Formats: sequence, C-alpha cells, structure tokens
Amino acid sequence: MKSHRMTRRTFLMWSAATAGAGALAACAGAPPPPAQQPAEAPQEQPTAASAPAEPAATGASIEYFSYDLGPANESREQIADKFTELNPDIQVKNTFLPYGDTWNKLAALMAAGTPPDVIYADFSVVNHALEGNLLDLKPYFDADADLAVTDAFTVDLLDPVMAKYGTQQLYNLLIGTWVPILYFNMDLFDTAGEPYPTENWTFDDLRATAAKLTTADGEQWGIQWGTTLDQTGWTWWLQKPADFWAVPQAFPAKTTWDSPEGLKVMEIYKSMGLDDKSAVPFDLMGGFQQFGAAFGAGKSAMVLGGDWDAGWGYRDLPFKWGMTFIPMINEGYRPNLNTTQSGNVIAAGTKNKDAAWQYARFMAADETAQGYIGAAAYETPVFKKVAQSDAVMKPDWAAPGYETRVKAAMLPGPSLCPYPLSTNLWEFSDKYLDPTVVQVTTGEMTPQEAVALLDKEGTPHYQQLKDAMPEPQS
Amino acid sequence: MAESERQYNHPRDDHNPRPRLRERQREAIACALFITPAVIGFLIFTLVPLGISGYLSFTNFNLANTPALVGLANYREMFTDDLWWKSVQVTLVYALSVVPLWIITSLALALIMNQNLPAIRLYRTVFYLPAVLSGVAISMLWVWLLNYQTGLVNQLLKMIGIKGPNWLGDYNWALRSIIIMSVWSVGWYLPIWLSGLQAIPTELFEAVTVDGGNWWTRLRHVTLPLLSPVILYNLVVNIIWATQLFTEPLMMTNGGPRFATQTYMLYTYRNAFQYNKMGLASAMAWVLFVAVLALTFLAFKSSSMWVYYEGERKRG
Repeated sequence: MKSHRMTRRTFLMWSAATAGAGALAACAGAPPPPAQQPAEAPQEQPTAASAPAEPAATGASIEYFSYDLGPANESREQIADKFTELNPDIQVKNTFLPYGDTWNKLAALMAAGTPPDVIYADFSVVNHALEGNLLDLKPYFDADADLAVTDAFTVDLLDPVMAKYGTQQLYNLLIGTWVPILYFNMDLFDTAGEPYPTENWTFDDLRATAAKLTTADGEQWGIQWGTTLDQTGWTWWLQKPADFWAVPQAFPAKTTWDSPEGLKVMEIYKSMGLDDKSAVPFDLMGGFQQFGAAFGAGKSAMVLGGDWDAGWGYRDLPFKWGMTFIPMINEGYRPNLNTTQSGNVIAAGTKNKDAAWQYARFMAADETAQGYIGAAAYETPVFKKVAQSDAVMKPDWAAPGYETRVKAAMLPGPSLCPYPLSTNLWEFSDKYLDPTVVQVTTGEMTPQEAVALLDKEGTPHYQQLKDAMPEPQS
Repeated sequence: MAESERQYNHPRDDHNPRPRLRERQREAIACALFITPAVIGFLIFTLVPLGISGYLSFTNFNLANTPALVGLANYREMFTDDLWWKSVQVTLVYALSVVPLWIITSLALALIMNQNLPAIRLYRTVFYLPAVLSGVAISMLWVWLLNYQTGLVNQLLKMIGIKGPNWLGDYNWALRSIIIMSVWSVGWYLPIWLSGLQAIPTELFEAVTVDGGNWWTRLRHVTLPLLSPVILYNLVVNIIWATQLFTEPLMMTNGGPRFATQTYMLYTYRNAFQYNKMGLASAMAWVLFVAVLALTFLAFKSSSMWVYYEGERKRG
C-alpha cells in the first residue's frame, strides 16, 4: 500500500510556504471601497440646526469619531453629555483611537459603507473629501445666520484650506486653532541673567541668546527644535510659498525653498546646529525620556513647539516656563501664525445628517461646548467670546504669555496648513525635509544644496496634490 | 494475511465486498472535517487577501479611492526609489547578521540546556521567557537599557571607564543595537533544538565514546548530522523572520536615524499606512514574497548536500 504520510521535508516546505503567504497576506490591506458618487447637497432643507434647544432629529444616535486626545478626551465626553441634556432625543457615542489607527479604521468604515457620523478631522481626510465621502456642509452653513457672523469667530469658518480643503465645498466645521509657540525655561534664563524672549524677537535674537545659554560641557543647550510638533515641522510655518495667498488657488504648484526665506531657515539650522552648537543635536533627541525631551528635562532653555504642548504636558513641568510668538525670520517679516485648525467633518454616508450637523454646529458655536474645549487646552476655541474670556486666556495654571495662543490665532490671513498638507507631504517630510535638515546641522550639506534638493523633491509632491484637486469654478 | 481475510469474510460484511475502501472513506471524511476550519481560515484570511494584494499592486489604491489599474507603475517606482534600495540593504545586513547568530547561539544554548544539570528546568524556563513576551514590551525594555544617558548598558560601561555610544541615535550604531537586541530572544528556539537533541539515540554517543571520541567528535559526527533537519527548519524560519523585521525598529528608532534602521517591512508599512500608497506597498510585499520564496527554495535545494534524514535513501 502506498504511504500517504507526510515526510519531514514536505512538512517543512509547507510550513515555510504558509508562513511566507501569511506575511504577504498581512500586506493586502483593506479591500477596495465601492465606487462612490460625489457627495450631494442634503435632500432636505436644513432645519434650524443652529438652535440646539430645537432638535432637528428625534430618536437619533450618532457616533463621534476621534483620535485619542489624551486628557482632552474628557472635554468630548462633557460636550456629548451637555448636548444630550439639551437634545434628549439624540444620543452621542464617542470613539477614540490612536492617531494612526484612526485614519486606517476610518478608511475601512468608509469602504464598508458604515462610517461614523461626525469625525474629528485634520487634513488627513482630504482624500475622503476628494472621493466624495464627506458631506458638503455649505447648505447647512448658509442656512445658519449665526455662523455667518465672521466677527464672532477668531478665524474664518470658510477658510479655503482648513475648512474647504482646497475644494469648492465646505467640509470642515472648525472648532479650534493651533499655533506654533516659542517656549522658554524661565529658571534657566534667570540663572543666566538673560531677559526673556519677546514677541518682537527675530531669529538673530534667538541665536544670540541661545549661544549664551549653551554650556561647553554639552549638558545644556539654548534651543531645541520641536517635540510633538515634529522636529522640523516648524520650518513649514516660515517657508511661505510665494503664491500661497492666491485664493482660491489654495495649493501652489511648486515649493519655494530656494527663496530668501527658505535659505534663511536653512542658515538658522546651520548656524545654531553646526557653528554655535546651541541647538540640541537631532541624534540626541530620542535619548530624553521626559515629555518635551531636552526642554522637559530642563536641559534646553527654549523649544519651538505646538501650543497644545502647553495644555498637554508642559503644565506639569517642575520649573517655571513661559510662552511667546515664534521669532520673525527677519525684522518686519512675521510668517502667518494662524496655522492649523481643528474641526469636524460629517460622513456623506451618515444616516443622521441633521443630527450630525446639529452636533458639529454645537461644538463650533455653543458657548458651553466651546468652554469645555478651552478648558481642555488642547486647542484654542474658535468662538471669540469664549476664546477671549479669562477662563481661556488666563486659566489658573497658565504660564506667562499663555494668551499668545489666542493672539497668534487671530492674526489676519487665511490659515496656512503646511504641516500635514496631505499624506504626500508626510512622505516629503519623512523622506526629504527631516533628513536634509539633519544633514545641514551636521555639515554634510550646505544650505544652498539643501534648498535645491528640497525644491527638486518637494515640487512633485505639491504638484501631485494640486493635480488631485478639482478645477476651481469661476 | 489470514487475519485480514477473516475480517473481510466476516458475515456482517457480506453486503459490502470492499470494506477496506469504506474505512478509507471514513478516514477521508474525518480528515476533511478536521482540516476544513484551517482551510477555510487559510482561504479567507490568507489566500484571498494575498490575491487582493496582488491585484492592488497594479493599482493606485490609496485607502480612500476606487482603485484604478496603473500597470507596472508601482514596480517601476519601487525600483527607482533610493529609500527602497536602502531598506533592502538594511534588511540584508540584518538578516545576514542575525540568522547565523540566532542559529549558533541558540544551538549552543540548547546543548548546554540539554545537560543533566541541577535546576535545568528552571534555566530552560528562564531562557524561554523572552519568547512569550510581547515584541513591543521587549523593545521598550531595550530602549531603556540602551538609553545613551541613563541606560543600564552605558552606566555599566561607565563604571569600567568606557564611554558608551549613542546606541539608538547614532547612524552607525542603531542597526547594530537592534541586532544585539535580537540575539536576546534566542530562547524561542530552545524547545525545537531540545526536541531534536533528545531524539538522537544515546547509543550513537556511546559508540563514539567507546571509539575514543571526545565532545567535539560527538558534536561533529553525531549531533550536527542528526540535527540537520532541525537546522534546515530553523534556517528557513529565521530567513523569513529576519526579512520581516518590523516591531523593533518601529518602536526603538522609528526607522532612524536617517533610515539606518528602516527595514523592508517598516518601509512597506510606511507606504501603506502613512503615505497611503497601498498599491506600492502591495507591490513591495509581493517582491519580498518572491525573494523569500527564492531564498527558501535555495535553502531546500542545498539541503540535499548537508541535511541528513534518517531512513531516507540517497538518490542517484
């Protein structure tokens, strides 16, 4: 009789083949989503969604989908509770996920046709906007007289970049703002007898002071380039493309690193990293376990970071610290600081459009909801009355200069969203911007070589995004 | 034979002239029932996604769009991408370093653990423990150990007058650090080696000893030949694992500094889930699959020269 026993050789071959196939299958990702038509304007005329006391939908349940906001999650729970208290027929369920997982899960939910209703979004959802997966909020917005009062908000709720994602539709109903900040360790300044940074500082002032606050033993530096704001992210705020303001062309066709401003940025990296050695070397950054890295450890006198750091981790630091505007590149040239804005989008596939809008609107323009957002200190509320209140400008724990968050957000001009402009620019930052800056600080690349390389590699990424955008309508 | 005939001619089996076939059918049905869950799982969770990833590798899928065919564009982009080549280089260096290290150190450890020593079971458990720990937890532990300022490793080096390197932050040390860390978990292989070692008949060792052989002779002429099928298995599995290194560089260095630890799988992940280039990532996964398949094939082809199967007749 012929034996059917599996030999060890066969068993090993099948084991190896199965393991390899399993690994490959893990890369298959989510199945492709069904083709979707662009979002249509709501069929029904928006109800009086602006009035939370008058429910637009009854018996509805909506899911609020967000990445994990850490301590600020509580504010979302408070907002949901308050909303349901005012609108007993609408239940709100909060879902929080780690940042990276949020967008993958959202893509899967969109593809499955079961999206969450309201999504706390940044520019990561631009692809969903272009694919018609998001609801156009303009009809709702136009029907709400309160939202049209521009003076009631710290920013333009119809901002072409952050609210419209460069399209002709309104997708994002803004609820808060973020700005870059120069933080400083007051104890180290006091010890050195140096005056604190002011909002009139230029980078030359910064350089001079940083050099004085740097010790020769390598135990203390004058400046640290970013923390939660990625290490080179702040440069985006300084590198303003020349044709950026040509609204409605929200997206330029090319990068302009090879410009006086772009070159100046690279010179700053070189002078402080290579010449003065007053900046914390990039290869040492990962060695600090504290929140805020070298700055958090009290080893860097200053840091350029996002204003959310103030409410998120710095408020617990064991030394006195303060906040001010990031320095001007040159005297008289202050880059626009009203940069990224946070808000909510609504899935086109939601079964509760009116209730979803009502909730998004509540978060953006209700005084109580905005108060919760302000108290959480993750973002600065957009409702001016709340943003300029003492509770937000000067909370009990506020560091000197904390009101910079609001002042910087209210600088005129459309928002600049250069940081995660799209997933393609994440790629650009990872592959080119960050490594190039590191090489400038180590002397492996000159500033001239750096800006040339960044334009060569950066322009295709800008162009790619621009090509994906629908043609502006006349 | 007579016993078999008696069984076949049993009066109860008169209606069925081929009872042996019925038994085989029953076995086949039982076999099918047992393997069906695994086959269904393989089809749904492996083969179908594998097929989908093959299709996606020829599309521009970005997680949000409807995939459109783009021909070989993803493969062209991959082969012209400097960072792809860099990830190949990092992965090859890692694999060529750790595969021999894993096999040699784990085999040496197993030879020691196979001795009849006091508290040997405790030692076996201790060495196997890292295998049951999460890769993330191990990575975080090593991040602390290798911290250039406060880490235990550099503190110990400092005590003997050596200034330790910036293990994870230095371009030249980062990958070496991950290689060193990888050797820490060789205990995973212990049960496999031990089962192989304990399957070797003791008479063979005794025969070598009677012939005047020492421990090296026993290792060279008995242990290694009889362990060669296990070595082959470990070699194949190690190649697959080494080429799929992901968790440690993600957790410990995030692929840095300046891509010094950006392995093939990490770069594939980045393309898929950070840059939303799912089509490109699928193409990368397929290229890795083919490469690993080729390496595995080579390992098996070479096995006829160095793997000894007891009871297997030599061909030719």
